[in-house]
Amino acid sequence: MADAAGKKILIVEDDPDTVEALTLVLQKDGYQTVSAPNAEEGLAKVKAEGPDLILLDVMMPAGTEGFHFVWTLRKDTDPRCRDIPIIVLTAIHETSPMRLYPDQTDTTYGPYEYLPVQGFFDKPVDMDRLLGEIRRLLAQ
Amino acid sequence: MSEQTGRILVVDDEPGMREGCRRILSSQGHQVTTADSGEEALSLFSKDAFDLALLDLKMPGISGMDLLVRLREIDSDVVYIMVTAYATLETAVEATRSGAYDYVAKPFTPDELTAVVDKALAFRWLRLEAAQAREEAGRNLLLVATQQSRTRTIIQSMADGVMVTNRERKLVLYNPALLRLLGIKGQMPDLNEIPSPEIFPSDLLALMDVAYGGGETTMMSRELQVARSAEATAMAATGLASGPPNLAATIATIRDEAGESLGLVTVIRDITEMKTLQQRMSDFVSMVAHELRSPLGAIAQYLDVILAGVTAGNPEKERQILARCRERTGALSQLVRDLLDFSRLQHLGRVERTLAPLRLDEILQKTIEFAAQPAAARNITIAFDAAEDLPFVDADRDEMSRLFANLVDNAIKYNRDGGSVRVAARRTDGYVAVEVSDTGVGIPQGAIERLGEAFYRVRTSATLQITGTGLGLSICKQIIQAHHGHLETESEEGKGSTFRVLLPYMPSPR
Repeated sequence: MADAAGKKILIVEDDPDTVEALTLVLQKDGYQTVSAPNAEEGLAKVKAEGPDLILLDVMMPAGTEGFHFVWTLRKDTDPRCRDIPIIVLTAIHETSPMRLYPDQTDTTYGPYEYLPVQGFFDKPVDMDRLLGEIRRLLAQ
Repeated sequence: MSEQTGRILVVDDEPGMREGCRRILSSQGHQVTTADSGEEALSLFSKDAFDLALLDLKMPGISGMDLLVRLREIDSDVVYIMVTAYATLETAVEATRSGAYDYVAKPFTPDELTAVVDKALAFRWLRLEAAQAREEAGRNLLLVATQQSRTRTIIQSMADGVMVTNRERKLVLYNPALLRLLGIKGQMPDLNEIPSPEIFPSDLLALMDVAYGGGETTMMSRELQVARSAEATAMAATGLASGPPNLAATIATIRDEAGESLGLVTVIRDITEMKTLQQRMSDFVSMVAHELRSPLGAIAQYLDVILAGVTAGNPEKERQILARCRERTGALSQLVRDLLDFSRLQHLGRVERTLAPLRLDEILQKTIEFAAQPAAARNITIAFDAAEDLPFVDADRDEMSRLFANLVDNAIKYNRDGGSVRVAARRTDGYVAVEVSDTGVGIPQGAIERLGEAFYRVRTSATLQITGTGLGLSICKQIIQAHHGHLETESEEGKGSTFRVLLPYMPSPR
């Protein structure tokens, strides 16, 4: 894909099989991929690799690691970190009270009720939709 | 003695009078005794019991009046009738003031005498009945008081808190358990006052308001929000210390026969254990869901990849992926086995178990082989040290495999990267002792007693990342107990743990 050329995607995900599956799909579509198994290494890789987009698994055992990753990035002084598109992969979207920011349908959320990310996807991921969304976000 | 007839004493110095009265009254069925003087009367009175006495007012020696006074001193329940001649009517009247019941004037006809005596006896019977009734009432009151005090003792001893408030919302009764559960110390609630918001939790008082506002409501139950400090909540979450209890209040309206409200009875119950169990089961379900979702999600994702043709033209990759899918189904199978095992062991009925003489070192060897790969993935070494003269143990092979697999898996799971596991087996006094030690995160002292409780998992910052069903040790314990063995646990936080399984060995190999 012409629009994928040279674009790098960081996958922050603790399940090695999910990483492998996503990598296969993304690479087939022409993206470069790097991965990290936890939030700490993920933050380090953002600085080291300078990805164009992040796929983040938010359902880590403690439940807070993923959120911590997002908030840390968004508070960074580097505009690239603040603005990098993040798509959250979660197994619990239907039952989670967390909302996307900005959420066009609901402006009544409190400060920690939303995640400043660009999309939520349920696992297992619908790959066509995911690729479409990635394309859209990278074109902006 | 029939109600109608009585024991009568006739006191008169005139024999004609005595005989006349005797004849008239005996013919009525009464038992008649006569005395010719006050002295004789006194003597008879002290020996026998009488219901009625006829006293002649005018007698030599002790006069009728004096006799009346003295006889009354002996028995004031007897009815006294004074016999008088018309001339002494005023005296007769005076006699009634001194305690005589009535008087009869001579001469009198048999009917006149009978009428006076009957009336007097009727009075006597009534008084006796009244006295009996009073006595019975006294006994009943004692009974009620005893019942009341028994009820009071019961209420005072109850483990649940009880309080009763009347129509005016004033407190009329409460027990020590109420004070304890609500944490009321020092200042006791006042009886006959409306419960004060300074002493009683506001949500409880609000609930009582609703109940008083009433209408149809006869009973309601609610959980109370007990204010906890952040520290207490954190402590309670670790399961290592108890915070204030979870309470539930049940309020019922007390009604009279007409259905009108007389007040409320409020029962406070400690539901901490129930909530804890609910929480643990909820945690368990979440854990199971998470454990299920991960392998299922990964397998589904992989299959989508293959089906979408992403691996078309790359059969080696495809084979790799399918192999991983197969491995992940293993984790699912493990979870299902855990759940089934746990459920099976919970059954109070008989469990199928095949006992045979086993050499535990063989089983341990196999267990360690299975664990080699997951251990190597984190650079954890496993050492095995079995004594040569290990005796046989009478046990179920599958359960022994399960038991030691659980212990070794835990030793790896809770270990640090690059750490080590040691499995040792030796003979001790009557037992084969198998020790599984690790260099892992260790277990806090307070948590050790609770290991093996179903769904219980140690929650410290060190263990938060480690997933598990909380059933493994519970299953181990049940297996060990079923084989008449013991489990000993030693641990130091930050250093590691040792689990020691003691199983009785067979006296001689077959």
